[in-house]
Amino acid sequence: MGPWHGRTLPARTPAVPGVRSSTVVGGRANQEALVGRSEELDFAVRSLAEPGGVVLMGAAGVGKTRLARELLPGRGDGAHVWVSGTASARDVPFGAFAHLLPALDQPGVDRLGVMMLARRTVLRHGGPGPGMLVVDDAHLLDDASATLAHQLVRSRALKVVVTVRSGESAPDAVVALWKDGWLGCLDLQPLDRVALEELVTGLLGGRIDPLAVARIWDQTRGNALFCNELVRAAVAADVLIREHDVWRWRGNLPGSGRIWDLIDARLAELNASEVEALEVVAVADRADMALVDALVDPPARRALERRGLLDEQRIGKRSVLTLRHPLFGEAVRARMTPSRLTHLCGQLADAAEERGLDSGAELLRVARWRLQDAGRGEPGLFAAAARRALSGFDPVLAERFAREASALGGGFAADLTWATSLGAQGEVAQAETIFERLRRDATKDSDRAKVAAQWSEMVFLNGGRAADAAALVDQVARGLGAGRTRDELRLLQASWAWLSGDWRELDRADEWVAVAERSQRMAMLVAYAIAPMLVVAGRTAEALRWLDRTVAAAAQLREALPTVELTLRATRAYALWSAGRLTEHLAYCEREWRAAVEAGELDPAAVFGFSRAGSLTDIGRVNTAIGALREALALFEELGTPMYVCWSLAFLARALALHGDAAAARETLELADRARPAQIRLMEPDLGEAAVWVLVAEGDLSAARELSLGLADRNAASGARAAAARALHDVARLGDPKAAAHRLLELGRHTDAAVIGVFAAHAAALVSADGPELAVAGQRFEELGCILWAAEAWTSAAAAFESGGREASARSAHARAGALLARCEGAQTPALSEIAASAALTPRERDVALLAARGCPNREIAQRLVVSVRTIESHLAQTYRKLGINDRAQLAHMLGASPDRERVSR
Amino acid sequence: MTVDASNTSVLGVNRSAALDLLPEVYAWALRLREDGHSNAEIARALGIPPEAGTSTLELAEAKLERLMHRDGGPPQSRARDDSTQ
Repeated sequence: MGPWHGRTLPARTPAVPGVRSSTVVGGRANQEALVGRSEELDFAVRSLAEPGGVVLMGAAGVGKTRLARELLPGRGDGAHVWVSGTASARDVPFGAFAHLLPALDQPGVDRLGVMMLARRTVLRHGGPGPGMLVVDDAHLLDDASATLAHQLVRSRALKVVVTVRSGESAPDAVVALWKDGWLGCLDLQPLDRVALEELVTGLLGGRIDPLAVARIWDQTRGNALFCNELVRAAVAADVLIREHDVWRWRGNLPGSGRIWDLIDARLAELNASEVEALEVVAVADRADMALVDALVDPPARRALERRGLLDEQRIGKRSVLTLRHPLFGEAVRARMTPSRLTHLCGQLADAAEERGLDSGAELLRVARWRLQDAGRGEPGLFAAAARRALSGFDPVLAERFAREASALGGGFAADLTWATSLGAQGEVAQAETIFERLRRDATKDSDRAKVAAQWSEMVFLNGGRAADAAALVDQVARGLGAGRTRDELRLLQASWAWLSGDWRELDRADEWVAVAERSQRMAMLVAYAIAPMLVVAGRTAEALRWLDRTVAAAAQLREALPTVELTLRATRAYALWSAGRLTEHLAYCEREWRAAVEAGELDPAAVFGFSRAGSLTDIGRVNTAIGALREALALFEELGTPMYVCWSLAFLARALALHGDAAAARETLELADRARPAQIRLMEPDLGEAAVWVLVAEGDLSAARELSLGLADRNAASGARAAAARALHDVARLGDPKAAAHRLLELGRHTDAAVIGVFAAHAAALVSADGPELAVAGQRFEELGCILWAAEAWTSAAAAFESGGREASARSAHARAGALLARCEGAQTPALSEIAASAALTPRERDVALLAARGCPNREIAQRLVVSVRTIESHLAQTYRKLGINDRAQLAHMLGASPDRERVSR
Repeated sequence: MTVDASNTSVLGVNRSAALDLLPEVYAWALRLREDGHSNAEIARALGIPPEAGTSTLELAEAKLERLMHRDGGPPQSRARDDSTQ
């Protein structure tokens, strides 16, 4: 753990828009806002506008009653009648309405009389006409109450909302309400994924890690009740915890608590064969339906499907039986006796192995079953499953399998996987004990090489010691004869050496080209080693040619070399970002990130989450970038990868600075500095760039320019031309384009990154204050997706046009800048703050504009400036015309003084 | 990057990806309607009361629109054939 451990980053999380939250932390949640039901609410409200009303039907926990409450007039303050069906009152005539009826102790009052009395009472209580009647859980009504409800609906004297649980039998009078068309009918489905995330965010009162959302979705499938209870239980058990302002899921729920009581209550409704069938499906974990059907009693299966507990699904080409509520699976498995569980696992594993294992997922399932079926698994099965789990970035599962394989005599391969999986969890000391033993006992060169490769990777990734990793590999490589094994180790060594700062390795890159021709595997390893070097050198197009040639093939070698495959994909993202091809970069990273989140793969989720934040920042979407970086940071901390933790902190510092939050940016930069691994240099340029922008946020432009010039010199001297170009462009953006222009032109001749040419053109146009050329630069930035730089270029173009007396062009350029700025999230740079000055606003117009941009209503501005509201309106209209914008939101973006920023910065 | 304009929202979010995000009943309702089935047939196929067929389709369409026009786009759905893993 690094120096950031135990510290909370400055809490500047942007507010989550549109969610009124009540926190579940510390106690029962208050009545939270209705989430994800706007469409249902619209339909129900329209139904209630007609004579009659609406039936809300659906599975248990889907939110019928909650929606019914939302439909009450005045949210329950108005007059209405609420009755509920209950199992206990089901046999009591008028039991649901009993609380409304006076004591009936007169003799001779017959059922009809009671019915009429009840009807009058309800109509009176329902409020001034037409009032509302809610009948909750109408499937549990006694017949008399059902008849009364039916009559009240037919009378059209009340608006009526009825809730009914699907799959349950209901009194005929209730069923007739929708069958005969008396009421509109709405069959509530679970929440969709987006609404679920909104619900959870509201419950927690803050941002939640997408991996945690995926897990909650997986377990609840959008059932609002289960989601509520699951989140509550997880917070209470410290399984959902807040790190760096992001809620994360860590560990497993304890076996007791309200949520399990809820599930137990549902399970208690099942008979013995239904429970057994549920057990089979729960343990089978999406195995092929043919496998499961052989063990499940068909009537029990049908009954469970009717109850809404089982679903038949297509996953690709396969049909599987799944639990509608996966949480039930955990509950069912936890309550099985060990012998029952062992027996079932053995049956499933035997059946699957007899059919033959046809996929990696099947391999993992069978290995899990055999783990439970102690003593009947083969070491080869567990070793293969361990490697498969590692390739899926699940080192915890990999370790379980590898340990078992080793105990069963799996030998070198099993032990190597065991050590690798321990290292991937950050258990460095334990892993090194095994690596050391393997190195000592290895008799073959190939085995020694494998140990060196995995061990050095752990030393680099988890220890942050690139030079030590290179030395480890060198020690073994020197003892090998010429051939593939030595070549592979030398490539690894070059990679670690380069990462530790020996950037001369790029000069040797041409030697490897011939080696790459030997095999697909070798081409991949060569790309792994030299592509990052090419990117740093500004030869991004060349790097992308290497990567595009090997990334697709790398997917096939993922199981053998999972980290190499991920690194190639990550380097591809790095190359796109470095080339300034931000639209492509963001699309690529978003796709990879979302896939990783869905698959629950921490490493790629962290890497691509971090990588996309780079583009988000350069595009100007700094709020989103800050959130993404906090998520990535929490993940990297869990993974124990110092290089990425430092890098994330550096990016976060820059994003916070661009957001205008100087104090938070400075604090984060200091954390990044302390987190810097001593032997890795790759993130140095980005640390420097962050320091520049922190100075900008603190208002010291002169120091920022000087620092950026120094960075450019150092980067250029070490061969990091891409970073040198960024630093020089920053110098131009910060007011000294003359110092940057010719150097950028020179750099452009030695690089092939698309954006460096635009940097040079931008700087040159700034020097000559050439409006048309600045506009061209803006256009080129925009085509690449570099929205923030495009906005700056258009702003400068507007100023240049204004100076040249070209008012129409100036207005057009202002409008373009404003439209681009509106796509940013309040990013603040010196170039952008010149917008107001360059638009030739009068001092009074500027005063009014600044106040309006900060959210002051016109009346308040008028009071402050002691003028009339009409005058304020006139000033604003003039300002909009001069700036080429239409509203206060665009004004706020242009002047970098949005109300959101003010609230976040405090 | 080419985009099939007929199948995407203003923000370029894929309709197919948004469909995958909907609860199964809604997604299937829309797919069956695209295949030309009547509301009654759709309700029968999905196991929902026939009287809820119209409202189900209406809700499905409205939710799909919301997902497609949400800023930032939908997360990728679990639409993986794990037999290929």
